[in-house]
Amino acid sequence: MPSGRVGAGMRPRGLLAVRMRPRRPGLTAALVVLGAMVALAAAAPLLTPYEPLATDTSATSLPPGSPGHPLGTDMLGRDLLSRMLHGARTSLAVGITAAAVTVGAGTLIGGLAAVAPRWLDGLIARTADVLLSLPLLVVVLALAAVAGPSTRVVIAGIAVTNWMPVAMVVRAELRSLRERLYVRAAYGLGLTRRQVLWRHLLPGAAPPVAAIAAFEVGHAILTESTLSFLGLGIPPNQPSWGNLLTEAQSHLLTGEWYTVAVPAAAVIVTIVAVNLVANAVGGRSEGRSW
Amino acid sequence: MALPLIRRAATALAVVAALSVVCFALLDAAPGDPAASVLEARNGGRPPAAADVARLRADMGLDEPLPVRYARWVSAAVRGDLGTSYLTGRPVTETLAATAPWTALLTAAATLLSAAGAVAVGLVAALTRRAWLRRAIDGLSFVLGGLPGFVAALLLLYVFTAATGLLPSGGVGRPGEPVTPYRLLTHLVLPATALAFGHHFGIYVRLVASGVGRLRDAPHVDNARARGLPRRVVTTRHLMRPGLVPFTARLGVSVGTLLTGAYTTEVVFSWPGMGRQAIDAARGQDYPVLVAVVLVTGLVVVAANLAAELVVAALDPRTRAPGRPSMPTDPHPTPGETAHAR
Amino acid sequence: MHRRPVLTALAAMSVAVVLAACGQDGHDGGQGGTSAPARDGTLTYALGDEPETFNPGLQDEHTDPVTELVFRGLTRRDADNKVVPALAESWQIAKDGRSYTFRLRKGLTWHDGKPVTSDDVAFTIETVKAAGADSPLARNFTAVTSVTAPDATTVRLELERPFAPMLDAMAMAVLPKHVLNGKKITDPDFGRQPVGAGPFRLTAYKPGQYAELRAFGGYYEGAPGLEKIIIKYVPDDSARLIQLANGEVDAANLAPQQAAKVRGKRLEVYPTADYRALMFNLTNPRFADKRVRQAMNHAVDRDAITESVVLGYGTPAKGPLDTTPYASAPGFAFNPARVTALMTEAGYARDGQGLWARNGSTLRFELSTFAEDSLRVAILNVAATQLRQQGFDVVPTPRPRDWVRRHWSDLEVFVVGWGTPYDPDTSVYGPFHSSEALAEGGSNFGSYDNPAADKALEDGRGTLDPDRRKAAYDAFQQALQDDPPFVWISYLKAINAVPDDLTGPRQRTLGHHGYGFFWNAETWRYR
Repeated sequence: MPSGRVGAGMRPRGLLAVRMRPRRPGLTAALVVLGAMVALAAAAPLLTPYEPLATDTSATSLPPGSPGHPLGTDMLGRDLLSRMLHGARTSLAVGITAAAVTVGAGTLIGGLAAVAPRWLDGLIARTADVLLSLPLLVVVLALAAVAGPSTRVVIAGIAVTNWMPVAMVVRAELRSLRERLYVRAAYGLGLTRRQVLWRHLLPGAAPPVAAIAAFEVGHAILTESTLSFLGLGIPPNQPSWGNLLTEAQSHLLTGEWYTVAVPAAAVIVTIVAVNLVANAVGGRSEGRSW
Repeated sequence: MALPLIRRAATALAVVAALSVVCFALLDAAPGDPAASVLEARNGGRPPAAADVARLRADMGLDEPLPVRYARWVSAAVRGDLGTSYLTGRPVTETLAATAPWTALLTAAATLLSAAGAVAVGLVAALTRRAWLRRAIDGLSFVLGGLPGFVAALLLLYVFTAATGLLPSGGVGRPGEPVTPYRLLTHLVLPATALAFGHHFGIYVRLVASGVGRLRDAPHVDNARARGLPRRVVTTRHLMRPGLVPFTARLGVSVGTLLTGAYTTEVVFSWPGMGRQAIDAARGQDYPVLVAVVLVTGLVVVAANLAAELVVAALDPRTRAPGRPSMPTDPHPTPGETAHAR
Repeated sequence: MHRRPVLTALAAMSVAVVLAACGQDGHDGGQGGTSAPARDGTLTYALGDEPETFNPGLQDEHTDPVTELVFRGLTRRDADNKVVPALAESWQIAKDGRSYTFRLRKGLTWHDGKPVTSDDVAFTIETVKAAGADSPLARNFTAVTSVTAPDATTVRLELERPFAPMLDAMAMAVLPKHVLNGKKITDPDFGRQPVGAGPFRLTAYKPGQYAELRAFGGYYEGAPGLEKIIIKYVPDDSARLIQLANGEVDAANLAPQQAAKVRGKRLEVYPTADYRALMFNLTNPRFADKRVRQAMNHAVDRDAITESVVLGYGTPAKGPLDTTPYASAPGFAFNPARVTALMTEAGYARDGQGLWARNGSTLRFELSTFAEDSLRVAILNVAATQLRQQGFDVVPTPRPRDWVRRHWSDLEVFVVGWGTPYDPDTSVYGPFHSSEALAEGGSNFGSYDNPAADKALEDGRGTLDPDRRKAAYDAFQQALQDDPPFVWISYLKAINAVPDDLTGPRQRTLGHHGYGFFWNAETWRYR
């Protein structure tokens, strides 16, 4: 019996459809969520009267919905809403900065490899090979041992272990574009290498790089939370979603479940939204859809 | 197939050598004095006197030039001697031998569970004609993609041990009693599940679904069906075997992901593997242990990549012809996949 | 080529690993055992801290449970932390306090069957004294000029000057000469396979997992009541509670917020001598004026901290000796009016933001502590909020332990933990005597320098007369009250859950980390 086939001319649906073309409602929802997150994070000091670090020994462990504390307070009486909003600032900033550094470094190195002499190209490829066999956690462990855990270590760790795919894409795109007729024509018209690179080559490589950049944001947020959980991420007194989760996990069993649930939900929702957007940006690039 | 294999193996060895240089140089350049750390650990946190630090530095061979230290380290490492832990004073190989098998077991179990699950779910997604089912799988893989591994682990811990008491919460057995296969299994279920169905699971499902889905209407599959081959044969030989190539390549690459994901899982479930050891070593500047963990992890990742290439070669006849590139798909992982911590 | 190489390869790999892992573990898992919870005289106790070594010569006077159960000293402390005989059955002290003669019990044996002799005692004292910086206890023996063993059961110590804590210091475990002779005290094998003369012997140790101790029949007071004690290392607070609830462990050390969640167990809540305080780095000129330090002592609400951070499982601190028989510190009350008076007297005025400022700059400082220690971080945050409310420009910044190690001298204000229930000298001479300042390699990390305190501390350790000692420590506590080195915060209580039918645990003021809970474990048994 033939399985439920989609005719050759018809557009595939479901899983396959997402891979090729986003379902619009999902994308819209994702963009709305992300926009809201960024706006809330940016306006954090205006939205809550509480300092994220200010304790209040007369208002400890309040449940969500308490007067003045919509999300409740933790064991030291710190306002959870304020901590979530300030945490969003840290987490989103780390996500975006790490993605920017990763993509910037990858583009530079990939561009260099594309125009570099053979030996340098080879050296870059081998360096990438070495780094590909080093998982991020291991790199961050080493960096944290050397420099002490910090936001910079988190960003550096993400960049060091993730620039390679960007560089590969940029290098491959530039190499293939270089031989195109219009690029040759540009050289023929007397443009310098730099002008050709900026006006013709890099814009061609932009779409796949943009997709990677978008995924990298979500990935970096995930990484931040994990590293903070292990005590190797954001310094402990700076609220970030990861740090909130870390502090809260010991209360999972002692009644203050919401101190875990709220930041966990924020992390998941943000990453899912970022991935949906990245998926849409990535469009049809085969195999890179995730 | 032999020659390209040798070439790949040689490359892998070169990568390992570079890895060791990088690790050693990086860790050796670290600020802070390991000798001081050791004395302080012994001294209940009090800062030690300078003369004692100097004496210990000499004892530990920390005053020799860098190339000498590296050469000595490599020659010893090749003989299976990875030095002595600064913190416990025990041979690193000994502690590693006690912890590495547990990490390997957890990673292997999770890989198996993850792969089996992804193939099953991915096939359903690719072959079903129920749109809602496809969408449900689609949504699931998206949500899992946003779930940090330690959150998944905490959730499982809460549901299956704290709330219901169905399964043991951690470790590998009751202390002081022999580890029987059954008891080991009950301890393994939760950490392996947490590790298997995390972030990367959605990627696997998608790779299976897209790999197989793309072939569903391919001419050779239609042809096979037209020849009247049983559906089972068509599915396994003509759909799954070639359709799983990209997934298999990715599986090899993401062993590193799972391995370091295991570190986090180990912390939550008190699993006696390398993870906690690595994190303690990083915090305590216990460089011999840290370098060993980095090296072992790197070796495993290199080996897994190599193995994945072999399996891909076996699955995909095109790659068997000599002179062709050995990888049909981009061996480099996509972002968010490389080797992230979960 | 196999049909399904992927799955076959994976399956083969995992089977191999399972077999390897089982085989690897099978050898040393102990003998026999059933899958039912072991109640045949076994107590399994979950604890967070795992020591680097079980060698008592490398620990301070607060030893972890395993070391405490494996070893014994010449003396030990009773329920009131008074020194009583242990391996020594009696002793004489010369009138001038410069000569001690200990007589050992007859028939003492090590866990390996060898006899315990006065040679072992002499070896232990000489080794620890010679270990210098390697052994935290070496400080107790600096005054010892000679140790002799005239016969197998007699040990004589000669001191160059009287040293009041000597009897208490002799509670340090005796080490076996026949095992350690010719080795360094830091020998890692001994730290893992210790041989002692205590009531339990270590029969298995899996780092990161557990230590298994069995009753030692040759113990001088007779075999203990429990057959086996397993100390399971579970660093995660939540995991300890889960394991206790699931029956994976019989007893556990708990965090304050967990105490109310325990069902079907008995809680043993004991006071400890372990206090938390905010230490000033007195090399920093901003803290030179003692009125500023007095004001900050009046600015924290210790009751609120004790009620919130440890949920009442603590006692507001007045000074460093509150839980000892020498307690006499008046302490500081939360008093905003006093803060204002003292700060104004010191030349400060409130600026536009309500912060104390002088010459146009606020009294800004970093309050830090070990980031890994969640209790200290909680104290840091609550204290920072309270101090800020009273106008102090505090920047709360927990730092990784490793960073702190390298920056002791750069710290401004730091959440410290000190205190001992044993001889008072042990926990006050190091942190407060000027000769022990950080720059001298001592443990006076804040470089506190107060001649009155110095003199009192010297008197306290230099006399054996109880009344004169009491007077010395009264003077010492008054000196700290006048010129405070710390902002005193709170003493902690130790919370342990044990099975209802376990008899024997008896309240005593415990030490750092709540260590000492097993002080009389040889008398524990199931009803």
